[in-house]
Amino acid sequence: MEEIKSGKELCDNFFENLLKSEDNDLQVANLLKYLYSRGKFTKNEILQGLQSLRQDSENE
Amino acid sequence: MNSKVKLRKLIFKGFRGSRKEISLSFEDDSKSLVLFGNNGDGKSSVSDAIEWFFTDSIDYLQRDGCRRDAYFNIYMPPEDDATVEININNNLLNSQKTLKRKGGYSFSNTSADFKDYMECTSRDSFILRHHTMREFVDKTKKDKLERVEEIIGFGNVKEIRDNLIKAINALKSDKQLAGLLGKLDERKRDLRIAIDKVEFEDTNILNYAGQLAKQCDSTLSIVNETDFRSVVETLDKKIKASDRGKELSRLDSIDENISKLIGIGEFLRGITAILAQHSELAKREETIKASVIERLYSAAIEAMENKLIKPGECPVCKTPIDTELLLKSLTTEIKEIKKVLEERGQVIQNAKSLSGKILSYQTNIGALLEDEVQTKFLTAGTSKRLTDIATLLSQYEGLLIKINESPKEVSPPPFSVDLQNLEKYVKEIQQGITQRRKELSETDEEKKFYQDVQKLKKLYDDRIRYKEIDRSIGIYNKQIESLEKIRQDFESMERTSVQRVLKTISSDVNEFFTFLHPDDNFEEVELILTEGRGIEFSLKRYGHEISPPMKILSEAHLNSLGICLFFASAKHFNKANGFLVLDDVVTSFDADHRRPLARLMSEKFPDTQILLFTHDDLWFEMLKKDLPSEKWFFKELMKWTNDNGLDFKDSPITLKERVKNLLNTNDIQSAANKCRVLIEEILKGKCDNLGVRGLEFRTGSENDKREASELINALTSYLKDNETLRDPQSKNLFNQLRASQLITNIGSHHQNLNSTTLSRGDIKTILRDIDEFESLFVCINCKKEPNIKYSPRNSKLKQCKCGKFKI
Repeated sequence: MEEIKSGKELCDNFFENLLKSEDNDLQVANLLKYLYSRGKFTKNEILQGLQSLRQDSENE
Repeated sequence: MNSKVKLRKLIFKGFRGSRKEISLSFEDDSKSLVLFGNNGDGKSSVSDAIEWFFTDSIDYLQRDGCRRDAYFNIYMPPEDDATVEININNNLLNSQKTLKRKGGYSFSNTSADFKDYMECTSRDSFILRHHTMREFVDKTKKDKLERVEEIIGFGNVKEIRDNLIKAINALKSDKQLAGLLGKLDERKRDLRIAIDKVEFEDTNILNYAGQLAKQCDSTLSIVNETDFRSVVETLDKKIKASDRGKELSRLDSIDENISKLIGIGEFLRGITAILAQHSELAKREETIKASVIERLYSAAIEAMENKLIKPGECPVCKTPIDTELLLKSLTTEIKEIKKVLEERGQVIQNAKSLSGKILSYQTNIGALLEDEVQTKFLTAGTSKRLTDIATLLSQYEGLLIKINESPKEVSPPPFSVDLQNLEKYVKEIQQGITQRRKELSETDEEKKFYQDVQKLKKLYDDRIRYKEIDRSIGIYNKQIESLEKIRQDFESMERTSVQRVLKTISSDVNEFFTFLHPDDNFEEVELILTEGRGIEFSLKRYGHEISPPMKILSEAHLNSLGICLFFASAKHFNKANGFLVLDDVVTSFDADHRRPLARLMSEKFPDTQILLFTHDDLWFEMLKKDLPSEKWFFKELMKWTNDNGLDFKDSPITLKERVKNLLNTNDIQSAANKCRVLIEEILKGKCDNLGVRGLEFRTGSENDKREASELINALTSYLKDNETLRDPQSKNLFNQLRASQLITNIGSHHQNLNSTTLSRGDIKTILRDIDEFESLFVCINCKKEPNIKYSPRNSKLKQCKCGKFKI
């Protein structure tokens, strides 16, 4: 029987491979991966991270 | 957890039906249990104790609105705590849990291992009750998916997905983004007006800029952005080279700022109108707040419309209610909520749009209030009015933000700006500027030159600002697109994973369901992902697809589906506990499929400890025969009393022993009823052994429901045909049994315990008759009864094992 992966295993796997997809924006992907790994994958943390990325982009 | 946990002992006191301490031992090898008890004797107290120990609550009581007070035995002293102790096949994890009168609970085992174990059990689903077995089958598609995700431990997948969606939605409705979009529209409009074109295109701007540049200096040309910047810088330097040029440039700037103030009156009135609309809506703040439970209302309506709940019962709190009235009231409520939300959405959108223009006006006024401009062109009164407008704009800006954030009422500042004369003052200033221009202008050609340069510079600035805003919006959009892409990938991964899980569960549900219904032509029973986010059962009967199952399946089949799903999910997803509690599920299980259910448990779950509770004595007796005694034991609940609460006793293996035990405990009525069942059982056994024909064909458990009179007639007929047991003594014993059967049957039914009036002596006589009757069929040599299995095929007489006795 095929082993059923737990929810955590699936999420780990998804975020592990997030940067490998060429279609994904690297900055956003990196941010989400970072927040997930720190257990901070909440709406507010994501929005704060994105704002910071926008500021960096504006200053470029 | 390396190996799954099984129960060795359950001890509870003062909890639910138990008053004194009672203990239920599953022995060292954690045997499975069948517990018989009449309704009200306290079977569910056992499952309640187990459920509370592992989950801190008793789900069905909670849903009925019962609080923890209901967990205490009502006859025990009001200050006493209740306890439930569970010993398992790992002594390190044994613990007693105390339900405290003063509130809360505590475990006697505080070890880290025990905490880990309890954490690990938190997602296990190990109790199935009569009234919950259909729960999943009856859920909506969306709720089915959520329940499956809960069962399979996808809670964090759901959390990640939900947070991602929330972040995307929040980003799309970001205030800053809305402000930028408003400004972009404004810039576009200004640029379109400046170049006098309907369609906004960058090439049009560059072409127009090129024309202006040529008018200023025929040697200049603009084909790209670099040219544009270079031309503007060149011309600017040329103008600034003279004081007159500087002043003319300054006058153009003032003129531009003052011109824009002409429409400010209408703009301010627009804001006051929005504030007034918001104040009206704020009176209905409660309705806006109620929007958070709109989904709950919608779900309730759906449940009522689809008749998923009992008529006359509130779908949420289960209290009695007029369903029709509730449905009408909820529909009106939702309509009202939607209307108010729509109005509020419009107000917010208008507020955002106006908010984006405030900055532009503030910039214009700020430029006019610079010292140099004030001194030359503004009177003290005009300066004061412009300052008032600037203050009012700041206050309005704050209020428009508040409107977006909260439905609460806001207090608009007093509107004391003199708008009526504003246009008059603006015109006065413009006249002053025109006059000054005339004084400064020497020739028409020069005048035209300065105007063209000013236009070019403004076009350049507007275009630069437009590009900056466009770039900022682009950064937002890129982030939104990236998040959307990641969300789609995540949901795709989730869907694939759920599909894989469903395939696995479906395989078992199909196996179990067809095992229970081998003759019903069911096939391909599976759980499938539906369009949108949902799950539904699908199955085929006689090749026709059925989905959802309630469309065509009987209550019994739906119950059966519920139990199959419970078994399948327990098999795959129960991580810690290796036991299952089935509390009276057989009651709602079709009689035809009770025996297959016993076989299913025995064959498909040989390593699972099963605690099966029933109030059906026929089923109980059947299980005693069908389930292997080395793995199962049988208990009965004694009659519940106020003094002692519930208590257990061993259940005799044979029905005859049960009758004798009932006589010993002076329960004559129950003994009489069991006698009737015993006679039926014995007669059926004889008929089966001898292959008695002449009985109408019946399938499955219908064969178990034959009346004793039917059986005894068929058996008599068989013996008459075969000319055996025809001696007077045998005939007498037959007659005695027939009489006993009649006595126990008169006015009696096994479900109606109060209807017999037999005495202790009558029962003893019946038991003696039964013994003598049974002895007629036993070989004195090998002690076995003649049986078709010992007999040659198609032989008329059936022989015993040794072949010396034939009937």
